[in-house]
Amino acid sequence: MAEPLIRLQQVTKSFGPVDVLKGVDFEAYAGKVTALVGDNGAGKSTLIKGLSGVQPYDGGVVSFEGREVHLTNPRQASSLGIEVVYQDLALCENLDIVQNMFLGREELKQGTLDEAAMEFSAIKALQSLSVRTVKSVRQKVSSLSGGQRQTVAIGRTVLRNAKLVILDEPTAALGVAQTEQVLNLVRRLADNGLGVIIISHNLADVFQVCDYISVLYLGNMVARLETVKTTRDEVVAYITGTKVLEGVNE
Amino acid sequence: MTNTLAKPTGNVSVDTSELSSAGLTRTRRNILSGIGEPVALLGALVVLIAIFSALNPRFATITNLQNVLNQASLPIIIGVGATLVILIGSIDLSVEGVMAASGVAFVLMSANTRGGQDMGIWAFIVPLALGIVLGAANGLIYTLLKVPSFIVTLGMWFIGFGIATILYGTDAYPELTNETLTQWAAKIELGLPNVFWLAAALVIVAALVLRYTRFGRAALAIGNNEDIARANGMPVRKHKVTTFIIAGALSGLAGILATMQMGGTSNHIGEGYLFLTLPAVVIGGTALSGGKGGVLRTFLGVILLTVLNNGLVLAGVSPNFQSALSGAILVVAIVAAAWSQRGRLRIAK
Repeated sequence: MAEPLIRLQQVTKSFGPVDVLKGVDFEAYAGKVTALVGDNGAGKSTLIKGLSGVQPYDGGVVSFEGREVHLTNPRQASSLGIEVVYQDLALCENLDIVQNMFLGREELKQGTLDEAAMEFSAIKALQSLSVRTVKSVRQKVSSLSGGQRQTVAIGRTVLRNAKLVILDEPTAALGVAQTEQVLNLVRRLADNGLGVIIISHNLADVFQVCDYISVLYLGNMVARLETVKTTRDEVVAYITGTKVLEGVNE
Repeated sequence: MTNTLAKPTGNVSVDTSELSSAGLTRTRRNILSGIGEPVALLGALVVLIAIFSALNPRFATITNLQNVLNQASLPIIIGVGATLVILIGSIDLSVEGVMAASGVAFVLMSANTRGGQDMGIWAFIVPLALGIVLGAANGLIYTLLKVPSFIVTLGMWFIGFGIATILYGTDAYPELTNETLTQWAAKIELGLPNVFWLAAALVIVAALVLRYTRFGRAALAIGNNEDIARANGMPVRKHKVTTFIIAGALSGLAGILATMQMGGTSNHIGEGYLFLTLPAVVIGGTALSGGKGGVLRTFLGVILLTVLNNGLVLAGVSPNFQSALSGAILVVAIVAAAWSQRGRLRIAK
């Protein structure tokens, strides 16, 4: 197997006396979708917040593209190519798709906004994901459906030259058809060569789109499974703690 | 910024001709979009003008039009700053205090009936700087100490008023002795009063800045949701402080101009301006919740209210009724303007 895009070794994080991450190993590969599953309180969000630089880890080693890095703030993580799509999506409803995709990173021409270039790049980024659900990139986000908003948020990560895209519950609030669209989009991100990490409670989604499944249980990584070689029941057993420590943390 | 351009990683074919044509249609649509409300506003203006013209033939004369625009200019200038502030979901109540401080500073530093020294250009620079300092204080206290702008600027209103009162002292009412200054504002150039040209220029500059710069984009994003703006790396605090500085400077400018229009000043020079300007901003269609609106709308809102006041006077409405009547019309206008979004209008923020 190739070098992982991102590798966490024995990362730890505590909040006061509570050890949320107790020495977690985790890796994700370029071109692959890795699921991060676990029950509430298992430490998924804390793991992701460390990766995005929002809440740096207390200890452990993080390697990105083979080099050791210290993720200390979101801007730095973003400049490395790590982008997170949060559940609440972080889109401004009063702005249109292009304006949202370039939010905080507007392109300028002679000091003024270069709308034509931004629109061009936005369309190109959406086309690279074969997005067909969005009619006009000048629609206001307030007029978009949940699936379309998710599409815009994912498209924004492409625009920012992300190498690793982390999706927090990308299908949580979506209907059946929209979930399908977003999962296709996720698959295409990986097919385009990006590393993708998905946090999800929905095992149907996970089995449909992910290559690997990593299971967190009370701050420990209890399993790292290849989707094709495991079953739903096995994953559930790891999530609920009825089956522990097999082939990881060896 | 070219490094943020999309780098398609798969086999992507992009039809460039289609893309550039999409860009063209966008430009056209963008200019036309959001014109609905201003059209309704213009309609209301036309109706008012028609009614007042019918009631008194003197209403629809060039002289009266020039008079209306002269009266509207200061609220327009203040309204530009107020719009920038309201767009980010904040409020600036310090206008009248800042006007008083800068107005009194201006008159005392110019040739006036109290004597003293004529400081020339400094008579303009110092009052403007006073406005900038008070505005910066607003912005810094608001952002650094996280005090609601409503509270900070309410306090600054009285700080400004206090500065004006101290500067004013107990001597006689100071009047400007330089007639060039006292007559500049109302003087007609190319058919319109000087002060209106100045106000119009400020509106145009602000409209362009809002539409075509990062500052403008940040204003809309912060007004919608400042957490999102911050998460995307926008300089939220800097934007807020800058906005309050601009508002302070414009209030300072308004203090100078009001003094020039009156030919002199007291510490009460700013009275009444805030409560003409804020309703005008709202009637124009800038949402108090932030993220929606613009200075051109405020311009129309001010003109509408000024025409209303002027028309009521010319229609012979007794001053006793006038204030109640214009208040009632205001309420009706605001309800009408906000009707389409009454469900999600969040006034307090």
